[in-house]
Order: sequence, then C-alpha cells, then structure tokens
Amino acid sequence: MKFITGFLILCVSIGTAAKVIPVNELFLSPSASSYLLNDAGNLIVGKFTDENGQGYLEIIDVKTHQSYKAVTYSKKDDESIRSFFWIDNNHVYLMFRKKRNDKGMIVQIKDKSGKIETTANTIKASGLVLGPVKDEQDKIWLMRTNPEEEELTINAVNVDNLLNNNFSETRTFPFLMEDAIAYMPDADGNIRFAISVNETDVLIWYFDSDNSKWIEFYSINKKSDTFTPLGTLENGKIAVLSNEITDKVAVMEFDINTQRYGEVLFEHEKYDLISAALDSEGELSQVSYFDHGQWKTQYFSDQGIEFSSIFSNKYPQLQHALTSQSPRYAVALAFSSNDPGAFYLIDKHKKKVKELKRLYPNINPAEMIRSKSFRIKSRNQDDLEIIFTPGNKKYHNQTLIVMPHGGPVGARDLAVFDQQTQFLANRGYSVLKVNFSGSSGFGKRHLDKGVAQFGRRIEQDLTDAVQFIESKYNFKYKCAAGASYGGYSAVMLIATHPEEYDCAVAAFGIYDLPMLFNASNWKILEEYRATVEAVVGKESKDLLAYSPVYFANKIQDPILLLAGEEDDRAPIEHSNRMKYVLKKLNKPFEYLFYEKTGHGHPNWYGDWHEALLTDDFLRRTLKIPPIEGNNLDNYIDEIMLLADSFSFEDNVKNDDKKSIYYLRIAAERRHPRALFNLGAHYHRGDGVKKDINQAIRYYKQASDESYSKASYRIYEIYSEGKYVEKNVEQAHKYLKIAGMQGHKEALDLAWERSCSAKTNFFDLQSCFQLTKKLDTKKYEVKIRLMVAGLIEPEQLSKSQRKELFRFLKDTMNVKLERDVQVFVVGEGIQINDNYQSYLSSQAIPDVAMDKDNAYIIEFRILDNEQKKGSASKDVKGQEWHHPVIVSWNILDENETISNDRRISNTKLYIGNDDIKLKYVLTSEKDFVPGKYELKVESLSGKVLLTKQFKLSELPESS
Amino acid sequence: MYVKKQLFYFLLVIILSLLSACVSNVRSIKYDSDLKLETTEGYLLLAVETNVDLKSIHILGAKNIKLNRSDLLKGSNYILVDMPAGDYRIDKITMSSWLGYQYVKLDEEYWSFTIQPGVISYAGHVNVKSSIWSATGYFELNNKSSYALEYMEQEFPNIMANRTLVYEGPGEDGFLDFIDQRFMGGNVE
Repeated sequence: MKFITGFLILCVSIGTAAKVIPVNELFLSPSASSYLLNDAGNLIVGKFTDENGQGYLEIIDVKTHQSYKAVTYSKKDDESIRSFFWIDNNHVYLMFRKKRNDKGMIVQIKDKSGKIETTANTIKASGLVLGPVKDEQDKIWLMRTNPEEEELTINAVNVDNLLNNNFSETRTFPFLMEDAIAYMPDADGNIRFAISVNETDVLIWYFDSDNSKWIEFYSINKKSDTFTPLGTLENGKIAVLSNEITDKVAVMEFDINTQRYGEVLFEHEKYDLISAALDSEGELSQVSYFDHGQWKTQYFSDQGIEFSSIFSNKYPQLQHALTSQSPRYAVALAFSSNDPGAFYLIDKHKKKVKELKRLYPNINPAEMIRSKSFRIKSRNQDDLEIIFTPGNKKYHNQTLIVMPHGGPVGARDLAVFDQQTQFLANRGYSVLKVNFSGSSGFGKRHLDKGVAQFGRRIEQDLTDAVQFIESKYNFKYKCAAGASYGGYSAVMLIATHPEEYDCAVAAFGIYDLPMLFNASNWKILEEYRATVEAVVGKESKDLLAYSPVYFANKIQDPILLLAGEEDDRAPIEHSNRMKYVLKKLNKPFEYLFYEKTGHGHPNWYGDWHEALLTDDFLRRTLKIPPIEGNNLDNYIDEIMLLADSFSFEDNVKNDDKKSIYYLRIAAERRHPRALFNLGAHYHRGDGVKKDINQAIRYYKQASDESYSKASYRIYEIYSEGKYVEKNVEQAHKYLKIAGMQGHKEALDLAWERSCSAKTNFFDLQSCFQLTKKLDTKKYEVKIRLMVAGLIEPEQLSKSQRKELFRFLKDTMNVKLERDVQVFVVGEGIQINDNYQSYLSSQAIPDVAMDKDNAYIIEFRILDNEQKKGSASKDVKGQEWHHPVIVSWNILDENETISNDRRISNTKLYIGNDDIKLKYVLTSEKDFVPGKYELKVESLSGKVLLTKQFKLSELPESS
Repeated sequence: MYVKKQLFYFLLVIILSLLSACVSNVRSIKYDSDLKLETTEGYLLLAVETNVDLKSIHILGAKNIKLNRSDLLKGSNYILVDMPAGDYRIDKITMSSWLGYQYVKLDEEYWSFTIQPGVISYAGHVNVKSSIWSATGYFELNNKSSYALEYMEQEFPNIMANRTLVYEGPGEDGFLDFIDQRFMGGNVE
C-alpha cells in the first residue's frame, strides 16, 4: 500500500510539474481582495472578480458559508469598487467607480430567518467619508462643506441620514483646525489626526481628546525616517513605528507634548517592523516583519496567539496575517513563495480553518516552485539574505538568472509569490535574488551601506551571493537580469565579469550615472539633485567609472536592452546611449523600446511581452531549445503573441523582420494564421522580397490547415489574374473551400454559384455541402428561393431532382411524403392598394385591371388529416413543413404554359402561415392581355391548386 | 494736436516695423550640405517632441528667431539652423487651443543655452504635453543627446563629417565629447 501511495505521489508530482503555465495565466491581477469580518463575527465582506471581468462585493454568512452578491460591477464597463469597510455589524460602506466618477454606497444587511438579504443604496449626501464612528451603531464620519455656512464640517451621520442627505440631527465634531486639509480617524474610530500645509512643510497634527486641542507632532518634510502613528497607549502617549533614534524600525513610545521618544516597546534584533497594532486597551497586540523574506507576525494577545497557532498547525508552509478578528472567528490572508495566496476563515472553537477565496483561482500552488532563503556573510562582513528559486525539474535548463532588485536603496526582495520569478522558474531557469547593501528591511545601517555604491559594494554583494549558490548548485549558464537599478546592475555584472556570465537582460535601466544629474532643465535643480545624491552619491567624474556607457568595450556577452520611451525615472536616453555605443562597438545586443510606456508596463500585455521576449532571448542566446511537447499549443500561442506584437497597434514598434522571424517558428509548426501572415508578407513584399509564388505556397498551406482567409485570398489571386494568370477553376475551387471553412463572403458566393443551375459553376453536391454550412434560420428565405430555382422546369434531371428532395428531406427536415391539400382562404382584386378591398370567396374568372391593381389569392396548406381552420395553429412554428412550389404563368392559345412568356420565377413557400400572393401590374409593360395561371405544386410534383384569371383590356374611357 | 497724433502713428509704424524685423522666421535646413559659416556662427540643433501641433517657438538671443508650424507638428521634430554664436533662450511656445492661440512664456533661468561658433550646438529636446482643450501644458527641456546624434548621422552625414556635435542644453554632459573622442577621432580639451 505504501508503494502504491508513493507511486501516486510521484505521478502527481511529475504530472503537475510538467505543465508550462501560460504567461497570461501568471501575470494578471488578483481576483479576490480584502475579506474582512465584522465585529460580531457573523458576516464577512470581500470583493471578487471572475475571469470575465464580472465583479461583486460579496457578503458571506460565517455560519452557513453561503455567499451573497451585494453589489456587482463590470470591468468592461469601466466599473470598479475602490474601497469598502464595515460601518457596523450590518452596514458596509463602499466607493463605487464608473468611468472615473466615484459614488458612495451603503449596503444594508438583514438576516431574515437565517437567510441574508442585502440592499445597496447610493448616498445622496456629498462629502468625504472618513470612517466609522466609535461605539455608535451605524454612524460614520463625513467631512463636507456645510451649504448654509459654506464651512467645512465633520459630522457623525447615521446611515439613513447619509443616504437621504439629512443633517438635521447629526452630531458635529467641534474641534476643526483652521488650516487643515484632511482629517483621519484612528483605529478606534475617533477623529485623531489632521494634516496641514504651510509654505515649507506638510504637518501632521494629533488631537488630544483629554484637553480638546490639536498638537503638531510631525513634519513630513523634516524627517526622512519612518514615522507611523499606531494609536494611544494606556499612559496617554502615542505608539509610533519609527527608526528615528533606532537602527531598525521599532514600536516606540512618543510624547507629543515634549516631542520626545520614550521607551522602545518592540524592536526586532534583525529586521525593520513593517506593521504593528495596539489593542483596544492601548497595549501592543502584534508586530510584523520579513524574516528571510517571509512574512512573520508576532502576536502578544492570547486571542491572536491562538488564532495564529490554529492556522499554523493546519498550514505550516504558509505565511499568514490575520486581517480581522472576532472572539470566535478570524480571517487570515496566507501565502508563500509558490502560493499567491488565499483568504481563510479560522474557527477558534472548532479549531478549524476553511479556505474562503483564492487570490488567483487558476494558479495551482502545486505547479509553482518554492523558493529557499539563505543568510550568508559577504566579503564586507555583512549578513545578506538571499532568495533562491530552483528551476522546474522537468524543464531544467541549467541556467542561473541573477536578478538584482531595483532601487537600489530602500527596495528589497521577498520570498513571497512573484510572477516574474515563477515565470522563469516554471520554464526551467533558477532565479537568485539578493537583499544586498541598501536593501530595506534590515535597519538603517544596512540601508546606508548601499548609498553611493553603484557598481561597487552592491555588485560585490551580488557576486558573493552567486558564489554561495554556485557552491551548492551546478549551472551551465549564468545570466544577469533586472529592471531599473537591476537593469544597471545586470549590465555592470557582465561588464565586470565577462567570463563568468553568458548574457544580460536589462530593463528600464540607467547606464550613465552623471546624466542622472543632467537629464533635463528640471532635473538640474537642487531639490532633484539632492534626491539623486542621496542614493548615487555626489556628482563627480568618478561616476564615469561606474557608468557602462563609457566602458561598453568591456562587455563581451549578449544583452537584451528593454526600456520605456516615456520613462521619467530612468529616461530612455540612458538605454539609447547604451544601444548607441554597443552598436558602434559591434557588440552582440538586441533592444526594444516600448512606446507609451514609462518605468514599467501600463498593462499586463506589456509584462507578458517582456517575459516572453526575455525567455526567447535567453533560449536563443544560450541555445536552449524551446519547451514544446505537450505544451505545443501554448508555445505557439506565445510565439504568435510576439509575432503579432511587431505587426499590430500596441506599445511595441512594428518591425516586419521580427514579426516574420516569429511567424516562421509558428509556421514551421503549421500554425494556420502564421502561414497566412507569412504568405501576406510575401504577397505585399513587407519585410521580405515580394514573391507571389511563395505567397501562394504559404496561403495554400494555411488553406490546408482550414484557414478560410487564406483560401479566399487564393480565390482572389486566381480570379483577379493580377499577379498570376487568371484561373477560373482554381479560383472557384478555393472559393468553395473558403466557403466550407466558414468564410462568410466566400460561402455566400460559392453557394449561389454552386446552386444555380444557370451558371457554369453549378454543382449539386457542392451546393448541398455549402447549404449545410449556412445558418438555415437566417438563410431560410434564400434557401427556399434556391430550391425553387432548381425545381423550375428543365433545370434538373430526374435523378438530380430526386437527390435534391433527398437532401431537403435528410438535411432540412422537409416533410415530402405527407400528402397535403391547399385550401383557398380568399381571392380577389385589390384596387388602389386598398388591402381590405380584395377579399372575395368567389372565383374571378375574368377581370379587368389597371396599373397598380393586383390579383390576390390567399391560401392555406393542410395535411389531409388536419381540419380546415386548425391548420394555422397546427403547423405554425414548424420549419419547412408542407413546402409548396408556386408559379405564375401565362397560358398560350393551347392552354399550355408558355415558356417564353413566363411572368415570374418559381417560388417555394412553406405552410407555416396563410400564404397571400399577389400579381401586381406595376407598369404598362406588364399589361399583357391573356389567360393567367397560378399553379401550386407539392415538391413531389403533385399539382395542389391551379387558379386562372383572364386579363382583359380596360374599356377605353369615353 | 493733429500733428502730434500723426507723429505718434508714424513712430508707431516705425517701431513695429523695427520690432518685426527683430524676429526672423526660420525654417530647418533640409539639405545635407555644410554651409560656409562665419567664424562667429554655428549651427543650432533643437528637437521638439510634442503631442499637439504647435504654432511657433520664439528663441531670443544674439539673433531673435521664430520657429514655425511646419517644423513643429505633432510628433518628433528636429530643427537645424545656422545662427550667430552667443547666448540664447527659448522665450515662448505658442499653441492652438479651443480658446484660440495661446502662448506660454518660459522662465529664462531654465530655458537658456549657448550656440558655439563652428560647431553644431544641441540645445535639447523640448517636450510639450498639452491638449487642444487646455491653454497650458507640461514643458521640459530634455537631454537626449544620443537621439540628436543618431538623427544628425542619419540625416546630415556631410555636415557631421565637417562639424562636431556638442551638448549645450541644461546641465553638463560629456557624452557627445566622449563619442567624438572615442569613435569620431576628435580631440577633447
């Protein structure tokens, strides 16, 4: 049994690892966000968007787990929910956006005998919602301009009054500052903070509720250190997250009156705190930080410890954070390096954990690669944390991608789910990320060590990390890849270690450090230069030695340069300079500068493109074969994305040669559209020498792969005779093929030609095949006309007629065998368009008609079994029931049909309704005195009705 | 009184004539043929990247010039003109908006450059972001020396064979000097 289990696990492991994740399933926005419990712990509110862009605010009943859609929105209609929060246990406030217009809404939730009912209403009152009011049921703080006094006020408004714009009985917060531009409540729902701006500073104010006064306690401009207020401590001082007097960001006691720090409430030995919280008693309840790149929360309250422990026991491999708690329940967001995350409900009583919603429902963590974190000692005796993600074993290509992060000072890498890392790892690359000198999260000293260390200490750290990883794992190839500072660093690594690296991918990078100080007339100003100096160091000629533009001759390895033409942070000039010198020096490099793109892509398409281009560059450079096999369809789809990007309107400049390169790859694998597009390139001479024979060759291959446009194109070429000798037969052959493949214009034309016995293209079998391709509902009238045309005298042979009827019976479900009768409902002459005037049950053997008069007959087709009068009801709605052929003829002297004097084409009618026919004299020409006959026949040739009338000359007016 | 009025109009006409004579309409050089410049003359290379058609750009200095609509269409425009050497500033940019023609006066401190004698002085890329619904916009003078260099090499190889392209835009930048020294065989002092 153990053996069987082990075998199954092995199968699952190999099976899941074998899948290449399509780029567009990896790089996309999360579906779920912000699932929060109310205080009572009986309801959860959250936001979810499905894969079709349909989103909703959902309310989940904690007991039953039943979900209710409270408000829906559609991304296609440019709708979204910007934010939401619980006002109290039964009301949710949300900000709904449609086409850049925001409106506040309130969802009211009622529990009716165990079933939740939600009502969403738009707020009529205008103003800015600040947050819920402490200890006051269904009230929120609203900042608005009082229309009577035209002054700013903050009101505690209940839901009904807010919805109805009624402020008659609302409480007003009376302690507004004169020059405040914004107010914020604290976690307890009390108005606590205000912001004001003077000429030089942005000031944050604290409201001392004991003394009812505002105290200035922080200036954003004065301090560059972290300073985040958390709330009021038991002793009346406030707790802040700060690193002003400590190396690490810590929870500090801060006295607002003296503006001095007090006790250090919590400082981690190694890491900056990311967040912290106080409980309702003003005691520190939790702190969070990243340990080896993994989110860690340390809880101090019994409740937090218990919830966290229940979760960790169930999912020890996941990093988690409690987003909201009640005495019994808590909601947690949990994730890991190979799991993009999900919201979970923890039940303390039952010690159970239930998954609520996944952030990326289509991403299976089992198919992702787990990262490993290490701590190493660098040559400069610094502790460095590094994150290593091994390549997918199935597709392992023995390549290490060294991926420096951006910044470089104040940014960092984490061991959480990262799309770019997973993209590469899934396709077999191993990825190394390093929190080098200057990375955030490790204290100010570590941060400062990265300042002015471009191309120096930072790249030393990276090199030390690479040596460490290479001591543990073997690689055949090594490339550096990164964006922003990472792009710079990638180029520096290969320039300074050409023997060790094989290539670089540098995106949105900077390559000329002095230019950072001289990029434009605004960027030479002191304020801007100071911000650059704080990271790069002072402007000096020494920076040239660390600017790869000026020593590109040292670069030996191929580079892929990517950049955004509208990048304001790393101006495109950096990449263009790099491109210029690499070109001058005949270095191996490729480049792509994305249009309408800044310091990163404006949409996911850009990320897909960059990822695929990077993968393609790496494989071509390192001669790693593409992953095909079971993933062929996905591989070709992605190749076609690249091919299309160089042909269509997007952020990628069109480039026929590049497009053709990718088209050839897909065409070799018989991709229909690729074959067609290649044909079109040869046809037009775009990117290749014009060659109509090659074009036709590719078009025919595409046609063989059922690509209707290609078949139609061949038809056009042969029928036009512009590029090749006109060939009617070939043209018609491909027209029919195109029609059979579903090309609309081709289908219409080929069908008309094949089904018309009067054309040279008449071919009953093709006619039948093409008819089957038609939308019979849409084409019903046309098909009837077609059949009527075919069954006209002398059009078909006897056997062909039989074939036609068999086809109609088998394919169109026409009931041929049932015997029918025709019953005349009315008959008469219509005078002067008076519709009602014609009816007469009397036969009209001899009539005199003027122009615009009409002979009219109305009849009904019945089964023999059916009774008169019930026919209409009985047959209504049935298609092709009781078809009859109707023909109008002029009889000659021998009372036989005169072929050269036929007055209209034969028509086919079906007996779904009463049939009203009329013969109208529309012109003098039509006025031919003589005997006329209307003949109604069944398809099998049985004459069901003949009606004759004689048209006499009108008596001459006297 | 009548005489005084006549004299006033006469003087006004004279002044206006003089004033209009002070600003020359110039158009970019189209042919790649190096001009015989006086020792006190040089070339100015200015690029204009704009998302709206501009009506004109006034440049004041040793010679006052006006760049016109045909050289200032939406997109990227390069203007190469021969000018007396000296200090210059981009004075104003005139755009058309729904209100009619609107001009934006630029601050001398941030929009100045120098034309050096005998060389091609690249003053920068004027970046204009505006719309016809706006009477103003975003204006910046960017250093895109490598683009200017590529443009000159592509469009004016003969002039480039005789003249050096130097950066005279905002701040200091040694890139063009480096290129000249490294690839063109020039001497940097």
